[in-house]
Amino acid sequence: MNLKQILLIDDSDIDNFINKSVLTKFNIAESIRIETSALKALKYLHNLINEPENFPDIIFLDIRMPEMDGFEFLEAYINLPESIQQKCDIFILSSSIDPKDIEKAKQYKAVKKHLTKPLTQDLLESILVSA
Amino acid sequence: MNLLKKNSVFKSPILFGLTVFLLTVLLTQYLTYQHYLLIKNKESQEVITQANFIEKEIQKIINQSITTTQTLAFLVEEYGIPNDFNAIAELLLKTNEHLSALELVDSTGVITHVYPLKKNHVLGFNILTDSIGKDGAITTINRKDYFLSGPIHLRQGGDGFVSRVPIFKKNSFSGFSAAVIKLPDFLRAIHIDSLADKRFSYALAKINPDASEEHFLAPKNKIALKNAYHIPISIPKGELKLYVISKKKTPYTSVIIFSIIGFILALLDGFFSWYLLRQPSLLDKMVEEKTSLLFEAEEKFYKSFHSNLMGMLIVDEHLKIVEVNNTITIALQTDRASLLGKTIDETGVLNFTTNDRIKRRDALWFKVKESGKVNNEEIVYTLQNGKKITALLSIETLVINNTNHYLISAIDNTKRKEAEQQLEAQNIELKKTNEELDRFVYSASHELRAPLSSILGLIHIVLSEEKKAELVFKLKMMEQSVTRLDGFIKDIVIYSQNKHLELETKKINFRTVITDSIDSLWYLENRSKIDIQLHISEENIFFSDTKRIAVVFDNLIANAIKYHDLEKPDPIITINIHTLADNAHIEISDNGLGIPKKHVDKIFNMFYRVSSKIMGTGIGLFVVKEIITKLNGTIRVTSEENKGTTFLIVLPNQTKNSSHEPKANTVN
Repeated sequence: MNLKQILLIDDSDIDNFINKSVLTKFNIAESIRIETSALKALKYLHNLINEPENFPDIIFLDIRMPEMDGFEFLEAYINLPESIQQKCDIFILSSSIDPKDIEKAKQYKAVKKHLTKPLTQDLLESILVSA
Repeated sequence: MNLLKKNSVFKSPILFGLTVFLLTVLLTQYLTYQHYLLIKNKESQEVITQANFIEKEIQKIINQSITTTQTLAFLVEEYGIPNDFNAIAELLLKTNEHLSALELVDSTGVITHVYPLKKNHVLGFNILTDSIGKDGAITTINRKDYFLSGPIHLRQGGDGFVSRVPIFKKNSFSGFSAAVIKLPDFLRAIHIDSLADKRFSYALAKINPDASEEHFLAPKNKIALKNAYHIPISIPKGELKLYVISKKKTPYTSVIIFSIIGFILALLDGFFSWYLLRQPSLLDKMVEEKTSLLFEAEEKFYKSFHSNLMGMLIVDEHLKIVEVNNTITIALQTDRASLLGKTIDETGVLNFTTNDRIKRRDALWFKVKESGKVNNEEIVYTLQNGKKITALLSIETLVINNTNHYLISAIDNTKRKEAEQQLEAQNIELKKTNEELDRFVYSASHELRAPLSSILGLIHIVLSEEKKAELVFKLKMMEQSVTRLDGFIKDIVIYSQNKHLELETKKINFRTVITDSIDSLWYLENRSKIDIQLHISEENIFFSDTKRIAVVFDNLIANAIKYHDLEKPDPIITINIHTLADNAHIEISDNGLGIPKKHVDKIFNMFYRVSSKIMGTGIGLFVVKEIITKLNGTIRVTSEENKGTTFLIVLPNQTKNSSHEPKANTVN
């Protein structure tokens, strides 16, 4: 597939397992990286500033996480260089159906869409077609 | 007024009027009578005067005739019948012009001498045998003195008088000397040219020996002696009688007019007395009424002022307190006596020490002087003991005795203020609780959904790997159950949102809302097999709550997809939207399975499900109905089994009545 890397940010190991399985089955990326903490993920992305070619093409971001939640992560993320941001699409992947969360997510340009768990092949197809 | 009250006559105007009327009638009628008497008196005086005058004139004639006849008689007695009778007679007649003729009669009654003979052809006529002359002649003989007889019809013609003096020689009767006075001469002598002049009438009569009267001359207009005022003149030495009759009609008309005027005057007098006396009594009555009204008004004022729950005080133009009511004295924790006559500052009941308060008070009075009043100004006062009073103050200008006063009304607003603050605090608390509840609903739903979505994800993975039919069948059932539970949680959340979230009115873009809705339903089975037609005519901009409308479309479109009849060749969902200035008409119809008649009425009920074959929670349409009710709209459904279902929704355009309040309580 043409995608190089997909980054999953979620504190739930089970969900990470599921999402990784679905993505692997769909076979759209060379590698799938999992970060169970938004802080760690941010640190990882910071390290990649100087090597944009290794920056993930897609990030699936959970919202409700300990320490740093999805929105806090987005606040930090938008401070990354513009050029890098443009290379990456962020999808919120959460089990929250709180309209406030959905509304808030729409405020960020970097966020492509708000998805409700679970991630399925059908769902993947629908977003990748539109993307 | 006391006099009027004491006297009973004055008490009753009608009685008083009547009394005045009677008195005036008496007075005027008495005066009329006096007037009448006066007229009468004047009239008789005139007649008497005239009678006296005439009497004197008659006396003159009689005197002439006495002198003449006695002279003639003396001559005959002393010297016998003179030979020059004619000369003597002529002489006598010359000096006594009123006498018409002189005669001598002998003892047998025969007239022997006459002068002048002309018009007196009576020589040889015996008067003692004459029926007319006999009476007078005999009376003269009997009286042995002068006697005037007549008026009689004279032998020589015409009417007249004959005066005779008997002549005695040696005590035996030897004849008469007589003088004839003809009536016209007599009348001329007494200055009566005609028997009727302007003022008087006259009647001449001879008194017969039997005392009856033989009238000789009567006025032409024959005034009855009975009715007219008259005076008879009688001559002692004769038998004539002259009546002087007043020709004036007694002026009864003037007396009657006088009397009538008097009566009318009395009537007017009585009426005016009644009318005038009535005025004070009417005035009294009015004063009484007004006084009682005044008392009433005063009492009303007194009561409404003093027992008013609103604190009230009246100050004069120097802001000195003129009057206070109980409420004020209680509120200021003082008594009436220590407030009256002082300004609020002087009473010292309030603490105006801080600049801020003084400024605010000055601003308030400035406003009063500018506009004449203030209404419901909120003021905080501090009592000397430190207690703060929040009051609503109204000040109104009041003119008493031509000077400006101010009526100050104050409502102790402390309790209301406290209640207001409490309410506000409760409201904030409630909002907080509500927000917490909202957060709880989302958190709880998230925590519930998270494992469910994990399970679903796992099922999907297993399903993608496993091909064993029996296991796949069981996993599918698991997937359905979990999906149903997940849907139920979603519905509960949406229901909660509709209940709690306030309306958020925005311009609605139906196309976007519906497209989003259709997109979100990608996961539904057979979604791709159904043709969805959209007809939107947004002629008017439509305002409503986007999120709620999205929920409505989500549910109705999902239902239309789920309950479709795939055996039909062309499954279709048609959505027609037409916006108007007042409202929007939304029609969602399908040619699906339709709703059996017995269910149609119940589909909007909570937890009501038509089919167990098709997955659902029984909450979707209930939430739709709740939302539409909240948006003040209506929803109708028409359905025929195996033909299809149509939902018709009418929603009000919120621009039109933006102030509208949702029916359901947002704080629930």
